[in-house]
Amino acid sequence: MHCSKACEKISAYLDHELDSELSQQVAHHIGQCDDCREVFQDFQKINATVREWPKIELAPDFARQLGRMVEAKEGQATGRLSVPWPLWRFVQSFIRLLDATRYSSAQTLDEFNDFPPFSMGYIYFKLLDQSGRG
Amino acid sequence: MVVIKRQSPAAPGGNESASMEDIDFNTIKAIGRGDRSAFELFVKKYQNPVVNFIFRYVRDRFTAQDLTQEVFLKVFQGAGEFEPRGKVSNWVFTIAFNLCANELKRQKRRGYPYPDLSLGDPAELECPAHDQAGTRKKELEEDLMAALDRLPENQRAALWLRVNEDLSYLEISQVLNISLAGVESLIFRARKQLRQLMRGRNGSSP
Ligand SMILES: [Zn+2]
Repeated sequence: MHCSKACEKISAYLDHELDSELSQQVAHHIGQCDDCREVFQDFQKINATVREWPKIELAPDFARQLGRMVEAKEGQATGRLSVPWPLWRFVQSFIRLLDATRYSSAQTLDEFNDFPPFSMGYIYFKLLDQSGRG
Repeated sequence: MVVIKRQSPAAPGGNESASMEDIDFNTIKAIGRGDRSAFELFVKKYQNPVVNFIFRYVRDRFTAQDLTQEVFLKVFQGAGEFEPRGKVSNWVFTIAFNLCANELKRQKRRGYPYPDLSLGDPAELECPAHDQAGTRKKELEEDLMAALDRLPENQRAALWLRVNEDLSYLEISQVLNISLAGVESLIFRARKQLRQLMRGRNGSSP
């Protein structure tokens, strides 16, 4: 096997993506050729760096928030109320704010629901109430 | 940190086995029935792999969070019609990839300032010699990390899925919707470009 061919396959070799015959050829070549062995070792070092690539994390209650959102959306799908998606993103921030209220008291939210029909507040409480009962 | 269940090293030719991920299939079925707690468990399992895959694409933390949310909402919506042809995780990454592709298109249309993705001429990256090998090593690592972020987005994504999520080339080809040879080439080019930088910095380019 020539260097040029071996060099092209070292990456796939490292990833265990070659069939056994080709894999053996590359392994044999790396064993004998300093240049190609250096390429292989460099690729291993690059893998180590890729593993160190900074990661981000989501809020600890991300899953719970999403669960609540889909529940509310389900209510929306089966109910009479139709709210466009961008509004949902907006409403979501309110849901987070009012979590405590909703979960600490089992009573209905009707007492708060004195907004004019189809105002933001009306729609929000309507949804909250529906999802609470769903 | 939630880790995607790993398959044994990909067999050559990458034969997919659905049985490996029965747990996920059952979860998806439950989600399809509207099971909220199954959904939340599923989100917990995949939220970190998904948000970081997306982050590799869009390179913005807040956009990545928003898109991750959309991915899981699509999972919830699509769970009822999910057909077990491949691994569930592949399906989730595919949804994420499609959202990323749309987002990048949207950004480019809007003319968002887009960073130069080229690594530049390796010869230009040569730096003055340092006294301490340790300093040089640390700087090289930082440079490599910066270079990773400057790779073209598909190279970043393919390399990430292979090295950090242990997806086979076949699985990556399904997620990114490209050929197997295309995946091999993406990953090879990414490594070659990063190696040029390493060698340039070491000042001992072959
Ligand atoms: Zn060689």
